Amino acid sequence: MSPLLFLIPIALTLGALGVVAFLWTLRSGQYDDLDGAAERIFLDDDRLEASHDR
Amino acid sequence: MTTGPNITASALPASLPPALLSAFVAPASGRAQQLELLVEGVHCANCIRKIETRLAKDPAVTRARVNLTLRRLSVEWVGGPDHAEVIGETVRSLGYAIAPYDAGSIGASQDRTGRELLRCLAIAGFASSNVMMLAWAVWAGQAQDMPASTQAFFNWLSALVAVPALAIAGRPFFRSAFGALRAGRTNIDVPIAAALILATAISMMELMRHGAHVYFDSATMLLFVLLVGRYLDFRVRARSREAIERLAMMRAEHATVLLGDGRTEIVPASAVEPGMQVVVAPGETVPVDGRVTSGQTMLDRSAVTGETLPELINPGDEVLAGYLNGPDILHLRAEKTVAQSHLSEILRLVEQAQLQKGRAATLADGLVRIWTPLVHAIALLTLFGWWFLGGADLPTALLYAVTVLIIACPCAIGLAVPAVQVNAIGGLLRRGILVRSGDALDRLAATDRVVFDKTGTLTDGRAELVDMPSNPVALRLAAALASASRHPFSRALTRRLGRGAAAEDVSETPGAGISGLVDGKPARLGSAAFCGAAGEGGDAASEVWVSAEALSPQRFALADSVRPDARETVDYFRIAGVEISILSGDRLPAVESCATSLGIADRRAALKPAQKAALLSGWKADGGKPLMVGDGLNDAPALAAAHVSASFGHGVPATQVAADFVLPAEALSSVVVAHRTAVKAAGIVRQNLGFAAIYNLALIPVAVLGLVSPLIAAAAMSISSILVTMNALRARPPRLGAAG
Repeated sequence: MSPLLFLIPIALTLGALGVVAFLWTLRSGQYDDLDGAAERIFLDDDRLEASHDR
Repeated sequence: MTTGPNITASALPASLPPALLSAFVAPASGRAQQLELLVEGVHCANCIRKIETRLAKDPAVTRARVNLTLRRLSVEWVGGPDHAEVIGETVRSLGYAIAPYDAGSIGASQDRTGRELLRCLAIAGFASSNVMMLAWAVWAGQAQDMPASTQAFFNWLSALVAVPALAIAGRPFFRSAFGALRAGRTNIDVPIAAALILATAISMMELMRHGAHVYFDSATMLLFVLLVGRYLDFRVRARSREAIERLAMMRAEHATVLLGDGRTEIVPASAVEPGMQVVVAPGETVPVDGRVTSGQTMLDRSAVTGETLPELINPGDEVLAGYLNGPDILHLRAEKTVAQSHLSEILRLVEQAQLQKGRAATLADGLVRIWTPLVHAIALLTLFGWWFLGGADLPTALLYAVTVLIIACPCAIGLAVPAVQVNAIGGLLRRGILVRSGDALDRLAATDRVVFDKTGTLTDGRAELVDMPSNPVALRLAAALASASRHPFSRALTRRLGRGAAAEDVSETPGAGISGLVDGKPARLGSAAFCGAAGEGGDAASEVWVSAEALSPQRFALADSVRPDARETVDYFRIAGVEISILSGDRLPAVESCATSLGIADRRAALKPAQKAALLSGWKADGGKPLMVGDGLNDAPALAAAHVSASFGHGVPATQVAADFVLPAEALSSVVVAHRTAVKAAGIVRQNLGFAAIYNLALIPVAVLGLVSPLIAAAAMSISSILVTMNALRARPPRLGAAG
């Protein structure tokens, strides 16, 4: 019984961290252009992003 | 308005005048300026790279990012708003058509709704998976003598996760339900909200009483499943609506105004005042109603009135917004503002028709109206039955009543109907067919009469050569003279005959014909009188004659040819047992010949927009469910008045606003795909609702008797949701060429 007392809250906390991370990605607009994200991995010119898309 | 009915939407904005982007610039943070542009033709990583690297070379630009999903470009730069024109020109020079994006309030609230739903979905997903995990442990524990204290601990943890999650993620449903209740109505969200709130409250009560019936898992899962349906539904509708708005934005109307000092300025058409001088270049659309002051030209009125033959316009004649200019420059004095124009009158007719129509009741609406009070009544009966007759205490009676609500909660309607619509609408969207709303599919499936417009719908909407002389000399002369003119008939000849030899000394007499020297000898191309031929043929076709000294007049016949896929479309509806009619604004002979060639008996010609709408309203009043297909401005009121309607991507924007379906340009047969999909989707919806009825009939009595445990409720709910979703996956449009 006693391991459950801390293991399950830990599991729930880790899960909640995942949700918080998801909400953060949502807020920062990472789901606004899903098609573009799929295509952008083919662009190997990182300087463009670094200098002009802060 | 198009520069020719054969041009697709994507090709149009190339003619957009450049000096208009500055008006859409918004100030960004600091001294920066920001502009959102719609970009047509971006579809891969290479397009992104081309546009972004090119703009990055501009020292003023601080940020340029292409959104491939929305096909939008967002640019920020430091400097004046005028720099927008430079940026626009840069993107245009790369070969992409652009138009300013006018977000308005709709776009912003759409984004917010989408994000809120996704946020709720994430929270509900987290809560339902974790609560389910704890619930399974308790169920297993009940069978294997788990200590009551451990069960209580798990249940309290469930409550800790579920209650805040329900409070946050349930808000879209609570808001809608309370909104409906305040207005004295009920909607599908009322029973959902009731089930969620009561299930949570009852579970908390059970928790306090150390009872075993804790429904946190059912409540969170119900919420999660319904949110999935809601989110999918939102995505597809948002994409369709966005695509329709985009069509309109890509076609914003502009006018070239002649200023007092002789300069010209390009302004939005809505800024033109009566009395202003407007210049209309060849191939441009007339922006406002007005009177011609100078210039003589042929105007194509097909988009406004449905008449195929171009009309000769002289100074002093009245022209209407939406006419397409022919070969010559036209100067006109505006007589009305855009708000008072013929176009706006048509739009008012559209609004009237839409008001009268109201919202068609769908199958699901009807079911909810019967089902909601019924379930609430059964739940109440259960409560009082157990409390007064069954001898149970109030908490137990309440528990049984809530179980009824949870079991009967409309998963089949809340998830199954949207899931079918999402599949059908999403599939159609991939085929280029835009659907305005989910219930449009319902209405299309019920169609019992299809009404076609002629010009631009059943036909190409432009004159094509249908008959020509066999004499090679005549063909050679005609080709040479025709290539020197931009008259619609000449262009039809050029399309068929090629450009031919060069003609010299060409002069064109508007309304009569062209004369010139071909191989050094005089020749004429034009009307019968112009070429000295006898009499005009009185049939539906128009004619052009060619003559020379050594050549007696020879006749070319032109007609607005029937679309290649019109035949199969009409045949499909005939086999489907649907009545077919033609309502056209064109002259009777032209309508007769088109109707005869397609075998359509019911045809009416020379109809005004209001008459078309009245005919459709008449059919509807007789209990009919007409489908209207049209593309012209004169069809817009009829589209709005019809039970269900379809327009084309190449049509005038007013028709796309009025129509339920927007078909890809030049593809009449896609109305067949839409109809087949709609019929199939309606069948699947009926199956799903039937399944839901069986499920409820079987389980509600069990719940009323108080025999349903949380385990049974959870299992029943997941199995029914999965079954119904799997069935909904079949609702995709049929493959091309597949039998229906």
